[in-house]
Amino acid sequence: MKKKSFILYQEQGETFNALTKHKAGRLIKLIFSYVNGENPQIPEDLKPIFIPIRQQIDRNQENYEKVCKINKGNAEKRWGKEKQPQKNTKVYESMRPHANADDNDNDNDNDNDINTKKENTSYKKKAITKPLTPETKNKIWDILEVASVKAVAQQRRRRG
Amino acid sequence: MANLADIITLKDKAIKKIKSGFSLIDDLVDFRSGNSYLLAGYEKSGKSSFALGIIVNLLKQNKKMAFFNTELTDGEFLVALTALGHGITKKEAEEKPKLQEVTAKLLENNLYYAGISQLSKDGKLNFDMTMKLAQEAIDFGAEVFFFDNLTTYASQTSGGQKGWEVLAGSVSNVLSFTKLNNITSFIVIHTKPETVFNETPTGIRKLVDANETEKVFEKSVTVVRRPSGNDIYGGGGIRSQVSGTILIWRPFQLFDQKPHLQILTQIILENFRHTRGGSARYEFEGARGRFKEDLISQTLEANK
Repeated sequence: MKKKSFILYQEQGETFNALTKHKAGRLIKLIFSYVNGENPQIPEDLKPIFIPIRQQIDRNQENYEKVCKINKGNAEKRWGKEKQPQKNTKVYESMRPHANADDNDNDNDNDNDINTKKENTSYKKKAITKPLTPETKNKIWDILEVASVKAVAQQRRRRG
Repeated sequence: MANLADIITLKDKAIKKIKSGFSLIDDLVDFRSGNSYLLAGYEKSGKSSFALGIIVNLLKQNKKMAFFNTELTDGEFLVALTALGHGITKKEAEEKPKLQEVTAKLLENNLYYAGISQLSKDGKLNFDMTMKLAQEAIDFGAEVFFFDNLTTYASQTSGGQKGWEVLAGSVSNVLSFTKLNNITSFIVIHTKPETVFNETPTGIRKLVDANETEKVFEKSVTVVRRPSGNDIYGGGGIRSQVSGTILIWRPFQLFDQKPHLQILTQIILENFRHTRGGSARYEFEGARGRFKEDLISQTLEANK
């Protein structure tokens, strides 16, 4: 599944700054050509700079696909295949496997959220519930304990 | 007449402690022979599943047990045990009659079982019959007894007896039987329906909204409040006679649409005679009838 966005990191700015404007321009065009699946020829002089960036992009894509697969599996397990609203479950549409998903995934989530907010509004209405974090669970228990005490007191008052 | 010192020595030697196999609970309390414990909760909160969980855990310790079942059909009982024992869902267990047969065979030497048909006389549940079979279970060698569910006897009263009288009478009988035979008994019983209330605590509504779940609490939802020993049928009278009460609290058990909330479970250990009691958090997987220990939130809570 191809994404509509990719990540460049702030620290990679150093690499760009170290290049001449001409080389930096060629590099960024090369990167766009690569992420758009055009399989560009890599000039010899840009190889040492481009290859680490390409490897990072590939790693992010792999992570994204892994998360998609996990989430698709989770969604199918919980809701059954017939209830899947779309053919492909995307990262931003589905349950997260864990509250602390890694940074790359978060970045991707955010990117995609921004990029696709409009086109996915109808789907958001059907959003699948995320699992509760342990902290939220603890807060829920605390509140329920207090609410229970109040409910008992209320029942006693009603009985007179 | 025996010397008092002899009696005390013999009695001490005879006390056997059993572990339920639920580690969070076993850390807080122990269950002793000669003592009876109530296992209570709102209807369908998972009391029978919890009892079956103890059975599966005790089987690993090769204990002999007896189960008197007035809640489930015999088939449902076997399916539930098969699911728990093999870590599969009840639906899967239902579709595997051979696995059910294997389970029944495995239990043959460890579990004395009586269902509604054995416990009834003239088409009605009969407590005298239950006690007669309980004696048979002693001969079988059972050390741990489950009476699931004594509330059912109270609902089938006869001869002008009131429900609570039948219930109190049956609990007293089980208590004496347990002491005399130096066994451990778990008496399953319902809590009263008044533990349910229809208000949604606003704090929870905010929290769940903040967690970006669907707007689940737009309308008020039915929540089961924390039960206590006073909410048990038969009330304080029954509670004071037993050596401890295990209460199952699933606040969102009636909230079908939200499985991630429905699983939240707290096991409350109240009025334990020999230990301090407390509470432990679990997640109840209804499809498997399994109580999973919720260790992460438990640890976070403990370290607060």
